Amino acid sequence: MSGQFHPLHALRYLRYGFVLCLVPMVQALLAFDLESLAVALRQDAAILIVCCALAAVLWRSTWFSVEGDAVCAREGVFLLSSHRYASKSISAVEISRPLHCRMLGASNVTIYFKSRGARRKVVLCLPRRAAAEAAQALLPVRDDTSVFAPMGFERFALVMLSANLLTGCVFVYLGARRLTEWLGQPVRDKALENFTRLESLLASVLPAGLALATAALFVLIAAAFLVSLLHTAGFRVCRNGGVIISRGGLLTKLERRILVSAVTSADVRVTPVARLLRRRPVYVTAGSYRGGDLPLMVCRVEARRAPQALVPDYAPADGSLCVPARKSLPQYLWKPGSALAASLALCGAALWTVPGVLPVLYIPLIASLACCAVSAEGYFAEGVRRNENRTLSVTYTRFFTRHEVCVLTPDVSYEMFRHPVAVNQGRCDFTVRLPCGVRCRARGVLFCEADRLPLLY
Amino acid sequence: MEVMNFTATRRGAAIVGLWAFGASCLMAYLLAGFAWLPGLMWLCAALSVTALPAYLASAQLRCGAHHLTLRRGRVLSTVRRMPLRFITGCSIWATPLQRMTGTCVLVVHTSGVTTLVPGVRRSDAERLAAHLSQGGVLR
Repeated sequence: MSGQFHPLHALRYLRYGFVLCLVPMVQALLAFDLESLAVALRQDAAILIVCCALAAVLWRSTWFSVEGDAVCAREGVFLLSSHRYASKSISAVEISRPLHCRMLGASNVTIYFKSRGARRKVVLCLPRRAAAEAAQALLPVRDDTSVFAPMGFERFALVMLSANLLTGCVFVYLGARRLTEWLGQPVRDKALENFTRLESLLASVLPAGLALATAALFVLIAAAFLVSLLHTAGFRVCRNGGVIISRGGLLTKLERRILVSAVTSADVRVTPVARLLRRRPVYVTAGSYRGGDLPLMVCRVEARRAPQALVPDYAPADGSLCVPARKSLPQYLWKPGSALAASLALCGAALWTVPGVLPVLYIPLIASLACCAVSAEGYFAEGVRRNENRTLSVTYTRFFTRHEVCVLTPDVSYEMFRHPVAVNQGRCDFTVRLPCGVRCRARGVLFCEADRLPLLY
Repeated sequence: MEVMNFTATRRGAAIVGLWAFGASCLMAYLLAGFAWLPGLMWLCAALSVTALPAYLASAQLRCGAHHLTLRRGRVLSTVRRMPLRFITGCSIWATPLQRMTGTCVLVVHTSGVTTLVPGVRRSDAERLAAHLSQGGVLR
């Protein structure tokens, strides 16, 4: 199969035109009169027409073909660039079909490579059938038997672990109900009162316009979370022919194909929500593919070897990975401890001066307390060890999450950092760098063990 | 088993320190009037001619049978190990001043990380690059 890219591909050239359109608009804004606005609009129209013409010419010059186990693509007019993406160099393929693409029959195909070279990924906008054929040529799958198709509570757990907005809403709702019981008056009025105070505080501290930008940022983040919630609809994972496939999504249909032999690590993330639900989301990286925003599967706490259904070489970290007695507790607690001290100081100051703001200040206080607890857990859990099946287990904590990573590839580099106190006490910070650029840093590892740790072969 | 050992030179490290010194002075000049920022830049400039060359000159490269090890720093020490067969590239950068002093900046690329080793002798860097281009097999 061969042909041109989908016409939607031309849209990516138009974005430069939109940036150019800002120049006349800024000029009009500086002049601030209707005549300048009319001139700017005419200039913008001219810029857009020229950009549309250029985009059409560039689109006409695109070409692709699916040949056996490779996809060839060509772009450019004066500077012609041809690429051949062979299946042997590819670790993952992602086909995303947002609503506008589905209406126009297009699919975005993202190709990830096994080793990260000059380009981490390539995005091609192809017609729907061509995209499916390209994915089948690069990472072929014959039939798909579900390994993980969440239903009932499993589905609830996946949604809760994937969509932070929904999780946040449920917890806020439950918390608000409990607060109403305690306070004896509607929390809404109290919250509005505090929100107004916080708004005035932001407006007085931040320069004009920045407070509005902060509010806009929060709205955008909430919208992003909502999008991630929609991604989990109809989610299922299969493994066939050495390829893991995950499909799902309501508005944006998403299909990911990951080559099992190219999987570089499996990351089990123990988030606060995961602790409450007693479930563990599993994320997978493969070559330059970093795992995306959705977990590949969610398994029970007891089923520690459940990820082996997708990644047969996965080995959970059994037993202790470290010697806590040789570690430094301040190294783990100084950051969340400082945040906790600052929050306590703020609460103390607010208690004497503006007691009304106090409920708002409880939020950073609780967050820093939780962070302290997770760091204290990291003191006992963080470490690194080589497993019997020649994989590497690394456990580390970051903010509220404990990561239990199983490194499966030999394509990693180790880094050991020591300061004078650590040298004196014979420990180091051990960092494993994966091909996708992810860094797994375990603190307080014994230097003699880290230095002897062999690279995986 | 034959191994290759290299160390960074003081001259090479001093040249890189001079680059940092020039950049810090330029930033201090451009940021003049921005409260404490020029002071910070002057501090960077001072460190560029004292601590930075000492740190860079302490670099030791060891190319063994299977992996490349870089040790750097005396007070804050770092050890980095990379498997030889996954080193995807090795490039050598040299400015006119570095060419005059026979030093260069060695850049080693792997899938996950790019490592810069400034101040290495050019002859050593070329020998290592040739060794790595042969797949890490000593000839």
